[in-house]
Amino acid sequence: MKQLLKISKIGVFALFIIIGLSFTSSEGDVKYKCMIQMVSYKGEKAMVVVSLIKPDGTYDRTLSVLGKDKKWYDEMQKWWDFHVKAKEKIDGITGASIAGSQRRVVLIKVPASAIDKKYKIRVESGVEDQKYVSNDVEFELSKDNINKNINGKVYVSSVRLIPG
Amino acid sequence: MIRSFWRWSHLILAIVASTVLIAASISGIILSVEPIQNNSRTTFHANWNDVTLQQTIDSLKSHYFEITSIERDVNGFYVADVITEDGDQFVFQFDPSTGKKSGKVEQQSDFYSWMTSFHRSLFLDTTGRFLEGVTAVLLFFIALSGIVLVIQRTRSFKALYDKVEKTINVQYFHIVFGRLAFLPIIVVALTGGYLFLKRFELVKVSEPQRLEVDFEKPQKKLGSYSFSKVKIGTIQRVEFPLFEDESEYYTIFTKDKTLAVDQFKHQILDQEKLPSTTVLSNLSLDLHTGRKNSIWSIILGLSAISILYFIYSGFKITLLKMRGKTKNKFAYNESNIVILFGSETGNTRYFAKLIYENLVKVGNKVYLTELNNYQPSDKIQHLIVLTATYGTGDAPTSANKFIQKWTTQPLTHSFHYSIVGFGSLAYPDFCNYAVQLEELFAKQTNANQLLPLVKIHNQSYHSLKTWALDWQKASEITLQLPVSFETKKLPTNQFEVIYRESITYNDQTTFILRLKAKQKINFKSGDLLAVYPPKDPYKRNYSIGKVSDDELTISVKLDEYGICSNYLHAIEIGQTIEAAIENNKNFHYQSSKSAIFIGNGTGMGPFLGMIAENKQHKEAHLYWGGRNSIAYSLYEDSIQKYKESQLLNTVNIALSRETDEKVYVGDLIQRDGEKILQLLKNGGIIYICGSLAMEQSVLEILDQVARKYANKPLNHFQKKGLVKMDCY
Repeated sequence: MKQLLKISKIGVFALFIIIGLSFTSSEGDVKYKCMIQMVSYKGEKAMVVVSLIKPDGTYDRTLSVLGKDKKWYDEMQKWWDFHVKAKEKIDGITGASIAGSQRRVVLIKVPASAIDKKYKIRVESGVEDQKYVSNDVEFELSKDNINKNINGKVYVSSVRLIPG
Repeated sequence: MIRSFWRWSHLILAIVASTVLIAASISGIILSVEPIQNNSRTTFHANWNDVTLQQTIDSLKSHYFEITSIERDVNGFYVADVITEDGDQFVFQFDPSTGKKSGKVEQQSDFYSWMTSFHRSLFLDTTGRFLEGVTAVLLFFIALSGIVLVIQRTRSFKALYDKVEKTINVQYFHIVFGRLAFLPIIVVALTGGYLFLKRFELVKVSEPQRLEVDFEKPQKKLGSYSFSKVKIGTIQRVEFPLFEDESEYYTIFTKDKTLAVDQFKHQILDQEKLPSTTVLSNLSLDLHTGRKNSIWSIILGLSAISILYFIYSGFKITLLKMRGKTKNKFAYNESNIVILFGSETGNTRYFAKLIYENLVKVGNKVYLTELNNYQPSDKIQHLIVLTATYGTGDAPTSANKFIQKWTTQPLTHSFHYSIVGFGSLAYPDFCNYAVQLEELFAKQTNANQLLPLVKIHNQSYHSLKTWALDWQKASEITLQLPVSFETKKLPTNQFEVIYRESITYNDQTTFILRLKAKQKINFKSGDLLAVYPPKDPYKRNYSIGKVSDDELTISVKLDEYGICSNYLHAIEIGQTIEAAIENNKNFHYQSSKSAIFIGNGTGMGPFLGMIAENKQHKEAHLYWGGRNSIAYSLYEDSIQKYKESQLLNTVNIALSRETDEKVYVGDLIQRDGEKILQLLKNGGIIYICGSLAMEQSVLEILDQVARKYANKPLNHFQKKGLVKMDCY
């Protein structure tokens, strides 16, 4: 009996924590699955960075990084300048780099308040011994652009956001 | 000419490439550990490869809400990229039969990533990659030219993987490791070279094109793709449809093609074969890095270690060859003595140079050159020919034109000649080329044979000195070779003389000394005791018989003019001598095998120790030859004791001066041939110690006996290391 009471106490306590957490951190965030399709190109795997851009054109935050080898990070110049200044923690949103022809789905979280407010999603790409593309894909974060394939310029073939 | 082309390419390429190769080998050795570590960090079962694609998907779906992709990583492990119902994403290694996590996806550690980039480009970016690539190509040609040399040496492909004949140690191991590592090195070089060519787009590599299904076009009829039949092991990567709509389909990458498969009916919507270059470069990466197979990566690591050894041994061999180079003091056409040599490894050249220097020193006009540089000259009174034999009976590179030159332009005036052949008794055609030259000269009446052909086994310097003495006597020209050309002093120990016994008969004195080491040292019967007489830089070697842990016995024949034997003979019990132990591992006793001991004279020395070590009472027979029973009396007590304690089965003594009937040790071998061969066939070992003359006659008789009773030449047993010799 005592045991049961103890378990239910812990259960209730845990429930409070979960509810509390979801209110504080996730309430204002919207999750999307972000599909990144690469073109076929010759060379090493690409590093790709997805960021949220403020209406004034400056970086708001990093949403996803494909590429774990930190020694290439500074090659992604524009993003790197922001990333160093902002001192963001990106461990949780970093995955492996991506090869030509492949497609990857990553989860991104954007503040609900940024949708339809002239914020943009920017995708930068870079390939070892080749080039760095600071605006491979760029599109407005609007309801219209959800579930729509947005074409890229160099290494990225297309990007698509799908409600998660 | 052709052979020297290969030799020069082998050497020049080796010098150029060695620097880069050292860097690449060391980093390669370190990198070869990575696949082994990766494999040890995770569980993997080969039968996972047989799970079907459908089972794999079902098992993952039972744990996770959505799968975005399944992939085989570079090490061959299965990796799933999934999303949970709560909207969390996970990437992990998994077991396709249960869908459960089997390991973490590890990022290449900073250390290995650093090492990889060093291995690829030496931190010199494009320049480094270019250097590495060119080196890979060079490595291929070095390995190739090297193996051509080995084939030419052994004359046939079959022999390529036979046992190598013993020559000098570095060269021996250069060849042995070369044969072993040849294939993996060729693989590393070819794949490395290919990756380099691909990187610099020197070979056309077409990238696989992305499959994009065009739904507007009429659909091709390609049949359906059976998820329940395809094994997961044949698949490289599967990208899953994102949502339920016909426009979203599976993209499946196999080793050789890419397929687009409808998500509902599993119809193949489109497919494309991968360009063969993609398949080839993936294979190259697998083979070059060993990432798919730990065993292969161990082999790669060992090959990288062997490359380091080849660099060391290759240069060492070259230095050995070069040390014989010399400048002549006199012109060819004013020289009375001409020394012609045919050298394969540089040793013969070195000996020829030694003779040259000592003849010049006492005021002779001497010219030293390769056999190929022979020219007729009226001034030649003495021709000395020293030559090795290449492979199974050909002229060495530096002598391959001599016979032709001599036949067209021989010396026509009267002259003296002496031929010395160098070789190894381990080869069936011992000194064959020297024999050919002897026959060539013998045809000419103006050519006077000063000394019969001398064959020297394993570059025995002692034998060369014996020849020099004979030549001096016959030509009446002073030729005194240094007592020993090895002046480097070995670390010595003090030995106390604890017993001596001497016998003299007809002015011939032989004695045995028993010595006790004053420090703790390691040695075995058959090792050599290098004795340094006071005030003499040269050492003399005596074969050791080990009596106990710190006691040894040597057997010495007194030479009237010998500095060392006189010194040893004059020593009293209680005095100490300075000497070093020289390891002579080719003449060590193996107590686990039965033994035939064959010797003459002081050659009994090491046997006195070896027989005492036969504690396992293996079958053992002694054959010894001496002048008379007085000579034998020196050893009689010990041998009798050994026989009584059953360390020896039979004792066979041949006395050549005892009665009218002269018996030599060879006669006894002939008599017991069948028994000896039986022992040899059962893995028994023959030990021969004594004079070279005895050695040569005993080997000849053993060869006859072997052909008679085993249908094989003695060489067959020599190659197996069953005939051990220490003769002088």
